[in-house]
Amino acid sequence: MSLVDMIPVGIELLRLSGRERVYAILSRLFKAKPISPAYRRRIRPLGASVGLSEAEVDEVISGSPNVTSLPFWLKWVLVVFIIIVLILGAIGVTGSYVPWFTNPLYVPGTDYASIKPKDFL
Amino acid sequence: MVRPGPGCAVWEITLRCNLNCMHCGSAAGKARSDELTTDEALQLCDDLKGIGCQGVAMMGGEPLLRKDWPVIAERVRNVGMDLSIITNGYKIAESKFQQILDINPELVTVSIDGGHAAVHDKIRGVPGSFKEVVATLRRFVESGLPTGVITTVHKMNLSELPTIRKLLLGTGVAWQIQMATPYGRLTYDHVLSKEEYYSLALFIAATRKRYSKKEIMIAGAHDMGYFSRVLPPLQVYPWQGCQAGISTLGIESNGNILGCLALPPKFVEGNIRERPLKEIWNDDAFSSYTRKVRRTDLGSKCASCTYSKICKGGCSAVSHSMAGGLHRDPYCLRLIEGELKKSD
Repeated sequence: MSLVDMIPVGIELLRLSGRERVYAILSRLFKAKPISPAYRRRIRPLGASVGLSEAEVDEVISGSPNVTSLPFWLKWVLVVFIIIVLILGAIGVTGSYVPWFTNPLYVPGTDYASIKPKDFL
Repeated sequence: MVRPGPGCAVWEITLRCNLNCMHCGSAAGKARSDELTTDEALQLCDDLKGIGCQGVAMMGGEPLLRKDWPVIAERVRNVGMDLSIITNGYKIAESKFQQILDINPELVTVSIDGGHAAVHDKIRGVPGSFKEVVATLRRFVESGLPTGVITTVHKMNLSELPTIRKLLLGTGVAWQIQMATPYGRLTYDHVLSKEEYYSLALFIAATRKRYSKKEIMIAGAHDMGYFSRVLPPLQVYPWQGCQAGISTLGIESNGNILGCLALPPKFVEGNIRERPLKEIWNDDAFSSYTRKVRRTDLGSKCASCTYSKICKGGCSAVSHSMAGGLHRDPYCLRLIEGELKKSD
């Protein structure tokens, strides 16, 4: 996949996930937790069928995606970038950057057996 | 218009297989009567390179049962494409193993569908196949070849995942988990329910959280997503919609071409004996169901989703088999989370 393809998709994902993040923060501000105890109770048994304890399920549904592999400086670059995108989004400057007709070149892991150990590194 | 080539062509070089898997999407067993000859297969390698294809995943049936597989594999490498070999790992003689080492593919993948011999053998339809595949896996790992494992999950093996994980821990393999779809031999009653599918997602997410990549590299395949509100991403790379006919290409052993090999025969859009591959691939009408998606093509729930423009309604194969149409994949984490929340 080329860098040129990645940029609009990356911006779109940041824009959409940023929107959700803002929603989650606002929910917390208004004391509405994103994952209610009732919803948590509903999901816990689903983990039991694949050998997960309640604690393991709680951990995975409560945490944010693991980004610990990112270098420290890159996290800050991303934070600044996300803030800029959020601000631009908030004032309505940004629209969707992804046209319906896209022409991506290659997305590993979207077809059989293309996931290699090196894709995880 | 000349399009960029696919990243990976998934090529069923033969339909012949020495196992009898209950979930086989192509109901493999006997070779097709009209499979490509060696010359045609070699020409196809050149043609794939000609359209800019970056890699070939050789599969079957069981690809290593085709006598000329090393010749085809070598041509793939010689023309400068990546090669991965997907084998069931059953009855790999030392000479065949040595041939694989000599060809040195970018990836060799075996299928493990149970953590216990009884389950794997029952699913694969041949007693003793578990013992064989585990031995094959060990040989690949010890040889230093980049190795992958695919587990196709349905009702019979969902609870086997922790045992398979135990087997793979510390081996350095890439473990790809995918949901079985009701094509070929798999019947609907074996397909995971939506709740079981969510359990599967929880398992992948929890494993990614609990273990480091050194201990185990696990990812959901193309049919494990999308854009969950609760779970971290399950795939290696962000989902960008079904890639059939965009970054992937399916080739049947008789030269039939379709956007993705996971799709059923009605999606065949040409044959290289009748039309050059270049013409099929660059045809404006080819794979229009993924290349030219509009919001109106999406099912109503997908169309109203925030991520509709990126996701485009999930996996085409799951959507077609489980919802009767494209771009409305009901096996979507985000969708299921909404349904779970409503049922509270």
